[in-house]
Amino acid sequence: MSPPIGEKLRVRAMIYVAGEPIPFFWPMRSFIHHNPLHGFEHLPFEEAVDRGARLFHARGFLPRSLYRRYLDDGQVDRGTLERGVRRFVEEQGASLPFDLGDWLVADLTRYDRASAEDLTIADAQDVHAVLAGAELRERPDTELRALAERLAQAVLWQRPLYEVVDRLYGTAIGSELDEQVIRACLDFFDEGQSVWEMPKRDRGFFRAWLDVAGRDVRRTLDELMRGEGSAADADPETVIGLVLRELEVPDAHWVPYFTQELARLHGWAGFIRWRSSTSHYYWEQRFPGDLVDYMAVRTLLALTLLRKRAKGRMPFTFAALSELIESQPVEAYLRNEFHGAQVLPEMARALEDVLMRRNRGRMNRLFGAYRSRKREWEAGRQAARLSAVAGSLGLSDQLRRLSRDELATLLAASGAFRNREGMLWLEAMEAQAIDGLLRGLDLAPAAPRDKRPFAKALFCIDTRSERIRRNLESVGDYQTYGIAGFFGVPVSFMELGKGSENHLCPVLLTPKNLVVEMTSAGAQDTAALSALEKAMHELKESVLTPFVTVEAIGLLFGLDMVGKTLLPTTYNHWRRHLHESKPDTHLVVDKLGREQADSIVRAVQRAVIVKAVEQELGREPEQITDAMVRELRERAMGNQSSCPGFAASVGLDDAGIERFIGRLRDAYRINQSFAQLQLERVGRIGFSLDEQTRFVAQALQSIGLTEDFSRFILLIGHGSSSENNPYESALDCGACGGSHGLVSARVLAQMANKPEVRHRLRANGIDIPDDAWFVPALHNTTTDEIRLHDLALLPPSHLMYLDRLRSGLNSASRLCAQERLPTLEPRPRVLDPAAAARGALRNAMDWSQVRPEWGLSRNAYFVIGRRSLTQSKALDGRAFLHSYDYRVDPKRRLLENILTGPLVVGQWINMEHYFSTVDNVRFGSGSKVYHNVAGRFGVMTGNLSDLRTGLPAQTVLDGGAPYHQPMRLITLIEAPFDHALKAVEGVVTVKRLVRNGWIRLLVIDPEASAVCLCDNGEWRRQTYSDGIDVSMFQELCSA
Amino acid sequence: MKHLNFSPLKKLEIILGGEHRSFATDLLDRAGVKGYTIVNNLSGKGSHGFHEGHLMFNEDDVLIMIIAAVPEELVKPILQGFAPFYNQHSGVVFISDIQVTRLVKFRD
Repeated sequence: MSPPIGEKLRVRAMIYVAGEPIPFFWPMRSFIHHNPLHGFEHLPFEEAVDRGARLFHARGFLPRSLYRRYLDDGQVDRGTLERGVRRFVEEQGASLPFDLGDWLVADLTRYDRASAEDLTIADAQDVHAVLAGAELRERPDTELRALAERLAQAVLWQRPLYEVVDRLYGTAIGSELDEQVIRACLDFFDEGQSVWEMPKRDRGFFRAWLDVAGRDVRRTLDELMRGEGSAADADPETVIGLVLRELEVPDAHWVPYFTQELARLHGWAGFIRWRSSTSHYYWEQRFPGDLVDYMAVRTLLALTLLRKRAKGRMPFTFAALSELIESQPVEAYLRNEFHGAQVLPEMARALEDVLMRRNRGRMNRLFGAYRSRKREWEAGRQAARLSAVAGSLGLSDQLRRLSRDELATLLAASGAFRNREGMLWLEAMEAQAIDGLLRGLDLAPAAPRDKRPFAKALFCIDTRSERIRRNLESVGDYQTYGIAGFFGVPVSFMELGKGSENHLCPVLLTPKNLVVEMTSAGAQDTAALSALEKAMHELKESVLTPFVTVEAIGLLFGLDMVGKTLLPTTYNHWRRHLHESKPDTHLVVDKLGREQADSIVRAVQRAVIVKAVEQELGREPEQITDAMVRELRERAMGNQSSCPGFAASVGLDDAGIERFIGRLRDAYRINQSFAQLQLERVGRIGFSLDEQTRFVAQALQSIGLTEDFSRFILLIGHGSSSENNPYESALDCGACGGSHGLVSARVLAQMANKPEVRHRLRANGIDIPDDAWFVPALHNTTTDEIRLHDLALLPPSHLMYLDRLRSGLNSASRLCAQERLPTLEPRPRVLDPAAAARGALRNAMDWSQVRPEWGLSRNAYFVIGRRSLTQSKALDGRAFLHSYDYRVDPKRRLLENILTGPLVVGQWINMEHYFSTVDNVRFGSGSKVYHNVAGRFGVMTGNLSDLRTGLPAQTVLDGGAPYHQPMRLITLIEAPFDHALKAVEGVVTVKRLVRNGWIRLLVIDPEASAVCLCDNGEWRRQTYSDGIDVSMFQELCSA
Repeated sequence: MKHLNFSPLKKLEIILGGEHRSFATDLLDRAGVKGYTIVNNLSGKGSHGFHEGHLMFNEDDVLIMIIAAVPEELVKPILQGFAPFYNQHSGVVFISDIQVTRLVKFRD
């Protein structure tokens, strides 16, 4: 009797909740920068980092030695650092005969390691004794009960059971289990990379895996399921429940236990978690697999392995291990010391010996000896560290004269300080960066111009745009703006020749409109194609192309049909014959009329009917006339009751006809209700005139561009190009969901150039003159080239200015490359623009280049305000710049849009870089050199490892040292303080990010000439002047 | 006039954050619930403070309510299923007695 439904649902919900701290992993085809601690964002930053670091066994801050290097380089504000230390000392409330603040500052800035040591046995009294040169006092070791409790807490409750066994008995069950699970995942989740497919994947991950799992697993399952039902029908929830009960894990501990299990391979867990939550992921629909399946596979394998390796030799259930620790604390302690790799080196041999012989008496004796030796060693080390610090401050005497209690206070404070120092360094580094940002800003309103600029250019807020914008502004009369890379228009894009949709917008959004690409060019070279392929090929090249390709039919017909009846493999073969160069295309951005939509659905139906007749009745396409097809269609749709022409032609009897019509209706979906569905789907194509007007208005207003339109208004999306780079999508536009921004630019340009749209905009107060033309373009961030597109649509009047525009863009590109290339050279040297341009081009094409560009590394700032505010500053490609003019946004709606979309994306990017820098091994993905692509969606290190998450070493590190400076995003909003604050409070996500300290927020009020900084939840104010200094943020703001 | 048959059922009103919508509907589907209605963009107050109903860009950050009419025997399993979720997240479930006329839509 399988467990009741309630129990199964409970297990499912527990795993859902347990999986929340594990970050999503998006397939790398569209790499998404995200915060690896996204699941902890509801907590304050410091706490979240602490918990996340513990869960993922990672570091949340840089090692002190690297912070000291930043200090030496002048990147850390010493004043803020010392103030932070003194604030800490105040909180501690310790009273010592010397200045604890001075002591801690010396500790912090002069030594690469904290002076506080881990004292597991020794205590303050022992340290005191060593300092006094006295013997350690006798301490009866009868605190066995306390020892047992500490052991249980540290060892048993923090990790899955096999890890406990590994830690106590030196086995390698954990890594064996991981290997098997990784293999299972690679086999099941493969997306076309391997040649041999796992059979029966459509039954779901758990069932498919069970089919091919070894004898041992099946035997374990049979034993488990005895009395509960047939093993063949076992569902994952049941199996999980049975295994955990078998392993005697306490019920209340299941959720944390699941989290610990998932955290072991958090890359795979994150991928599965993402995959099962996406509604339209093709592979998930075909081969479903969620975290419950994954947990069932893991736990069943764990039980199998534990039984195989441990049964009869060592305890392996929760209760048995708990019992061991409680009743044999000495043995458990020694085991943990030895196999847990924290043994005192000089006694390792003796421990190994005693554990092998398992002689109780010897164990107890060795325990005593070990403990006292370790106690001496710990006390000695701690005393030495303290003496060193004291010596450097000239306080050696005072240290020795401290009383026991005072020494205990010092040690406690040092220990607490060690946990705190990461935050102090971070805040001090950020203070220096804030200082750097605030100096030299221009608060004055822009001077009125007599002549409009030659061109206005809208760039993505991406940090790489900062350089090119600065250089473009310097070569001519250009005005630049920053806007989210998708230009505020979320589209789902269906590329020519492809059948699947691409969401070109931040992953936070779901686009409601579909844009398709069409060509008017003629048929391509068909020499190499077979007859079947030819038919498909012709379908492809007609004007109705997007609706009729095989996979597009998938769009309109549901995916099972594609797989079963229309031979996708053929399609794939044929696709590879396609020429490299795409024909000129144009985008369908307008809504289709009812008749157009109707005729499209009809065309698709006709194509399918032709296919059906071919496949079911074996007729050649040439034998099927249009009249026959029409008859069949009407018959299947129920509009006609017979099809005499068709019947006569194929020679089927009535029954046969009926059967075929039935097939048409069911398998090929030629029926009324499905046609209705298709009409709805086709209706998704394009934007209504209202929508177009709204999007254009919103885009222009959000950046404050509502008048003074130039002849050319460039919409410049960005993308990158590199070879042999699984991370290529990470270098593309995050706002476009990991694709390049050209399509969005083309869509908005098309909308904004439409006369009807401009007519409506005029009614809304945005008057775009007739001679202003929007031109889409693509900025290649690897080569810095800017290429203009859709020039065929340019009005003739603009052609004569094209040269000037092109030459300006070219100069800007070369200057930008010149600025940027030295950072990519092994040794910095000055390059002339031509050489730099060549170097950049080579980076884009060299498949051995592990660092085609630095991407978003060194990002630090997010500025929301007018360009003139920052125009005179060189921000070295470190700032996200979003244009914004509060004067045209009285209701704060536009600011809220910027906060909720672009700023959140910026924060994700920033946090991804932060954690990949502070711990590239655990949060980042290590060196690219060892990466192997897995399943076509991720990378592993070596031939079998967890899916690597985060950014590779080459992106954030330079020769082992951090290239990216790990800091939280320093956000500056230019607006009256009230205005900005209300907007922030109005967006729940951002309010939470600010309140919990995930971003550092500043508001600069041009009307009051003041800057406000949000510091630990409080707002502090300072007048803006030339002498602005981050230390002068004292006055509190009134909210 | 056709004679109307009234059948008693239980109504569940499940209020939770919008980002958990697919989890909740998946759970209901697995419990065997035949259909449900979703009300979007709610605001309200709970032990964690006031929740703003704000659509804007982010469609996930709003409160939603899922209404399902279920036979009595499904109430306990469904609540059992949601228990671990509500241990960690804000929201509530209300259970009330209702009647429906077309029982076939709600029960096999």
